[in-house]
Amino acid sequence: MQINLINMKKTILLLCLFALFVSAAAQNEQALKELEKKSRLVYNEGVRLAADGKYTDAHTKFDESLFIQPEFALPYIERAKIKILNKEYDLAVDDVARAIAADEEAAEAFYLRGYLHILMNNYQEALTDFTRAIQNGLSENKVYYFRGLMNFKLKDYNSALIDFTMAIDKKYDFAYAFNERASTKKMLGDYHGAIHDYNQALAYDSTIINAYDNRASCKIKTGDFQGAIDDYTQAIKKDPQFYIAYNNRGNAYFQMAEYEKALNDFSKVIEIKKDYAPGYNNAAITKIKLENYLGAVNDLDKAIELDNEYGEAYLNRGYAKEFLGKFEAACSDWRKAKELGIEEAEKYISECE
Amino acid sequence: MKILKPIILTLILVTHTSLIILAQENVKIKKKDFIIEYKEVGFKDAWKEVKAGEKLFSAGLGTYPKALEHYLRAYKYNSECAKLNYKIGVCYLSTNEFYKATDFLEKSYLKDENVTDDIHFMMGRAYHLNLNFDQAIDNYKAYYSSFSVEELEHLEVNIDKYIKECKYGKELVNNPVRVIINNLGSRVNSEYDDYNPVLHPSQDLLYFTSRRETDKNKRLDIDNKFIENVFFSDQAGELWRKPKLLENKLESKNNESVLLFSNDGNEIYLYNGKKNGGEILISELKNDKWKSPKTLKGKVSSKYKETTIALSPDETEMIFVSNQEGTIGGMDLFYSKLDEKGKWAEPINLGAAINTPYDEEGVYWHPKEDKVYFSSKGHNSMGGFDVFVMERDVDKMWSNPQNLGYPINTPNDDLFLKMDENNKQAYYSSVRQNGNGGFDLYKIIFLGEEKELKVTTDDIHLAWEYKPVDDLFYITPQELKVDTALFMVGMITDSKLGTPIQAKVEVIDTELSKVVATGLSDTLGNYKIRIPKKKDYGVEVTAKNYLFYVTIVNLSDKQVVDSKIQANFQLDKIDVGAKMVLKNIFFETNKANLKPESTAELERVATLLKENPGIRLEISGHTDNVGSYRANQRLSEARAKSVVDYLINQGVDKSRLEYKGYSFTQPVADNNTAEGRAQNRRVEFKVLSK
Repeated sequence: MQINLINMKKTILLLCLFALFVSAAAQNEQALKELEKKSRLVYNEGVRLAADGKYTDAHTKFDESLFIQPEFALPYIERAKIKILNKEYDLAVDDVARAIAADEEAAEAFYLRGYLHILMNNYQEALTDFTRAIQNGLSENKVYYFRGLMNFKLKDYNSALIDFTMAIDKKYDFAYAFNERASTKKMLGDYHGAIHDYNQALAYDSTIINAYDNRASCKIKTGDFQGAIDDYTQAIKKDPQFYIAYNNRGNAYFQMAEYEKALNDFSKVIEIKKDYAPGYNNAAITKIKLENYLGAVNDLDKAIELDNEYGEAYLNRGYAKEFLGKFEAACSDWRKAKELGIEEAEKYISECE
Repeated sequence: MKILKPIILTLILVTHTSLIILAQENVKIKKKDFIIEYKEVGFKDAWKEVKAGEKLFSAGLGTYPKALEHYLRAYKYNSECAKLNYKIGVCYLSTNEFYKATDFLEKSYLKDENVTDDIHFMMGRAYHLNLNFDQAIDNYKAYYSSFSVEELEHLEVNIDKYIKECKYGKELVNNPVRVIINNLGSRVNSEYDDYNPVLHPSQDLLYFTSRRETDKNKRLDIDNKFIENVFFSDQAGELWRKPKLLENKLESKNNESVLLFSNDGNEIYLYNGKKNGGEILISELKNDKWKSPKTLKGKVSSKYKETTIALSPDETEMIFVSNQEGTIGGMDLFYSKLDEKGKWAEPINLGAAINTPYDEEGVYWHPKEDKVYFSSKGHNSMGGFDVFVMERDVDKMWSNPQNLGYPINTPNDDLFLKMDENNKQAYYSSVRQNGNGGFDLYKIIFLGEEKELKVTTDDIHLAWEYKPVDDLFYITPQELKVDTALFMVGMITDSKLGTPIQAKVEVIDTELSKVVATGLSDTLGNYKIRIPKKKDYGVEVTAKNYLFYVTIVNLSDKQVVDSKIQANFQLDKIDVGAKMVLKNIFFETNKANLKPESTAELERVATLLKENPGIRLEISGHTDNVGSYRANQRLSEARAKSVVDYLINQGVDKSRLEYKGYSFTQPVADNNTAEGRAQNRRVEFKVLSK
């Protein structure tokens, strides 16, 4: 009887302890819920501040949110975005890594990591991350846009075409996506389709001046040289320092055998961008057409000085030297061009034997 | 009509080549043709120029350029004289500015269609030399048709040949070969004829023949040009230095030319214009001195003229140019071979497939290959001498000569081509536009097949690369859904007994004048109402047998614990004598007119009366102590009456209501403060019975 009493007391004691434990656990769970809720509320404050463009204040709120709940992925993501905007990429990389550690399904964290890979020219890694972001449910037009960029960079133009189309489907006036899709079509040889997309890009954003330049190159492909010249001129008018447009207009004039005009444009390229080797190369071949072979050799010397891997420049310099009767030097240049992968050089070298 | 003498009558005897083929009629410019009647000023000087020009023109081809200078000065006086225009045109034909001839000859013809018998021929020559072949043919035909049949039989100028040259010329010009032809420059070339370049085997000495003026030489009567001399130039980098006269035994007054060096450079072959009417000689180099030239051993030399020579690469075979017996016409190519005794064997004519009825000249054997270059006026020459090449096959058979093509060949004379061993470049002499005068030495660069120039185009394909947008990546975040439920909790009790009351609690958003939450207290008096957010609300508490309670609850000041804000209320029971200040009744200043915002409070009083039909109320008005008692009494009573009238209007029996004005006799606060006075200005009710 006494033993039963002792057992009963023990049981009661255990029950009391259990009750205390359950109560403590419940209280603990409640406290955690409160913290989570508080953290989310602070996070939301950060989101609102970010929406107003108050990124510094928003950053502080995300810090606070993470102080309350360190395993919360979203504030890391938003903080990383602010760091990217501030060009603090290393810090952004840290935050993105923490976000993924907190939530390995965090789609936007993969998206941001992909974007950071782009900034570091790691295109394959970026492509993988964007794909992961999409697999994890991110369906923003931008994720398709950037994945399209990576596919373009990696020369997978068919995949790029699909991605840019997805981006446009999700945002009908996405001018950049139209421009990139146009360039993709150009790469795939669909020049008319490309011209259409460049038109759309410019309709939605007339400041994308490279669209004029690219549209012009498509027009050349379709034989519309005058249309191309007009587009290049338009690009130059909008951006007088856009040396690429001068270079390409020079090429159009060159193809139209208007060598004086071509030389003017190539000279302008060199004037704007003194370290742009193709400018010298193109000025040189125009001088060859104008029978100024010594001038051509001087320009090609400069082009090669700027880029000693510039195979076309070696090929052209050989050509200019041949005109000057310097056959050995010409052959030497053609051999170098061949080394650098210029196929035509092989044919010319046969004349050196 | 006068029959013109052929062109060859002048020059072929002077040099070992026929340099310029030209026929012209020396029509005299008469004073009456030249003078302008109304323009005496300047005539005298101009006429002197005409006479000087005429004298130089008559002297021969060599002084045509000088004659031209005088004619052009005379031209300033009278530019319309047909004969002067003719003479200027003809002079230009003999210069390197032959492209200027057409305008003067056309003008001459325009002024006088019969200015000379050969005006069409000269115009034909002018157009021919300037590659305008169709007009050249028209003029040649016009010239031809100007003769009678009888005259044509005696015509020595072969018009058909010129017309054929034009036809060949059209074909050749339409299929140009890829070469660059560079003049060796005025440092080497002179205003006189410079021709027959010969490279020493060392490749750094260039010998050539020139008819430039020296201290010693004189003009030859036959063409009024200076006698030939040999000059040499050595190389300075890529240029040739100023030539020097070769003053040694080789130099004579006999129209000598350097023709060829042996492979080892120890023998030199020369042309001597005097010996046997023109002969090829050989000189040996001994102790750095050239020995006296000797006749070639064997049977090459003849009583006829031998001019140029080519040796096979092994120097055992020879092709030379001669008009010796066996010629097909004029100068021909002959072949000879060294015999066992080291003498040149009997020459043989290379035959009609190679030699033509016209002259062949300037033969040259390729230094490495079985390939011979020479010039010919025949075959498909486009005019004058053109350079041809023939190759010998393994059976020692020569191919048909191939024209080297335009622009190496021109309607003028192109001669003495010397190809290098790699077939990449050659030297030769030619009469070309904008030369220094007559024949000049040129270097030909053979460009091989057409090569494509590589333009580098560049496109910034991606807008993202052309114009990066820093925030393009930014995806706008969305707020998270958070359960932000906030509860107002508390207990409603009797104000005297402290017992719980079951009451209704309404939470009012005072900004919206709208009830936003409602709740009931339980039997223990506890209530719990979910409120939208933490801010200040009006709260109305009503319960049966209790006076309603209205207040502003400052929730924003209160602490939230577990999503709850505590607010307790005490209600006064409806007992006789119980009083209540109606805080939310408002009047116009110093008037008894109720303001619209009083309605809610008045409605609550009306509801109280309706829900408790047994009670009677006294509505009393009170003021602060500003102003007289009487005035305040009137105002307080009027305000109490306004409330009573409103309630009666709401259906309350007037027997249940009394009203009374108490002026400032029953203050509830200190009248010395604004706040106190505000509290004293009030309407109350008191329960009179229940």
